[in-house]
Amino acid sequence: MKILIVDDEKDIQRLFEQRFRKERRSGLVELHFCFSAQEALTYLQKEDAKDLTMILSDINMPKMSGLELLKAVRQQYPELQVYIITAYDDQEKRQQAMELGATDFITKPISFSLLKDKILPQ
Amino acid sequence: MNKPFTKEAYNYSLYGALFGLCFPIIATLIESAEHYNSFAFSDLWNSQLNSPLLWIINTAPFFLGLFAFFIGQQLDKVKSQKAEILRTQEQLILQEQMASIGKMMAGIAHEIKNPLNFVINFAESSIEITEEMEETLSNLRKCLPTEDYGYLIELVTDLLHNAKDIHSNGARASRIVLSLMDHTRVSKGEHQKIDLNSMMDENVKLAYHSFRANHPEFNMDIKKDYEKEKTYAMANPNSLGRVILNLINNACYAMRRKMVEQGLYDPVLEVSIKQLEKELELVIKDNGPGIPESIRQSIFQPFYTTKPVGEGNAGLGLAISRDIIVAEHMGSIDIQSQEGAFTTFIIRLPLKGEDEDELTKSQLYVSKNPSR
Repeated sequence: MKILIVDDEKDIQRLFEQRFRKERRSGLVELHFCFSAQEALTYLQKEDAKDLTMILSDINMPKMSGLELLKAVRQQYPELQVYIITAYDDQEKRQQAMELGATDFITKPISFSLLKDKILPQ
Repeated sequence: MNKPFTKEAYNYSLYGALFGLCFPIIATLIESAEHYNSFAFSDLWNSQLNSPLLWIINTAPFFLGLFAFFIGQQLDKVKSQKAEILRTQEQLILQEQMASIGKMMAGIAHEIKNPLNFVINFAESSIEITEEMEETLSNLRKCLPTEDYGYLIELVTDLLHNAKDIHSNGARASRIVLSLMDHTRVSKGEHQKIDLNSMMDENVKLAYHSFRANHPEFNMDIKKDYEKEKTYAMANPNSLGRVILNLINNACYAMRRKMVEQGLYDPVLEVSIKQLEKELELVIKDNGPGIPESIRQSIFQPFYTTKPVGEGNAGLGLAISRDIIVAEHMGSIDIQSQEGAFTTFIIRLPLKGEDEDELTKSQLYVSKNPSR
């Protein structure tokens, strides 16, 4: 399965690559990274993104937020799963994300065992 | 009711009556001087009896007193209005301060969670990597000189310990940040009519069960004493519930400590709610180890804790509780304690005068469980 991760912090790439090392090695998971919401939207139009299973997106990013990205994705790719991952764990944001059609809402610090339970096929 | 002479109305009617008394006295003296040319008692008495006008003047103290009473009453009204305005103003300022401190804390907490995410997860990743290194290294044992192998194992073990320490301390910081955020989460919410009895019941149950989830060997007796079947108050159920939860959790913690230290002993928690003249009183008493006199004043300070470090206790529980009771509910929170015997927390919430009747008649508010 192909997963797109959207976050403005570059370190997130090394983190996800390390934490998904086993899954990447076995070929279960393929990760792709974008460092802004706009970049993600451009990527989605590419051939490479055709077999994308899900997006994991941060909320707080410069220019375009994760929630705006979610809104845009919902309109153009209704079947794509979108997980929101954020440090801002308040009821308001959570509700907003769920109303916009997020698959789930995950808070930082990320618990990768929990995240894997949620996104990987059992 | 108010004590006499604390109200201007009573003072003024007394002044009015005293001033009014001057009129009949002077009038009688003048009358007596004019008709009898003397101030002898019998002459004064006769002038009283013979002059119908004096009878009217004699009523002056009464009417002047009455008149002054009404003036005093108006002054009282203005005074109480002013006090009310001042109180509301103070309350607003306090709430605003709390809100802005809360906002700042939430902001800081959120900003810290992002770097913490990296700290915790990279540490966890390092643990995995180092463990794998250790494994690979032990497979290579035969290919390496014993001395080098020993040194490498030592290095890897140190690395592993470091990574574990970084991870556990990151997790600890994360727990502290969470408890900071809790503060802002509860201070939201409206004041509404709630039944304190059912709120108390609910939180006693919740606190006891969640404490027992971590310490299943702990048991306590719970004694409840509610003066009335229902005790209504205007309060924020989320934040008030959190105070009760916190106090009971502390009580359980203290009683368990006494149990561990002393062995045989029956923990008892007593809760009571009653109505005083102008306040509602909630009392939570445990027969734990008590709080030493020397620290009784410190326990309400933020970041003060007697619990061992590393358990993720930020020492904010009582500080936040006091904020909630004093600043948000305009009440008071006090401790009574005797070392080795008991600790009692007494919360007093002001009765909202005009709401009182309405409150007793109002319907039962079923308090929602704060999301946690």
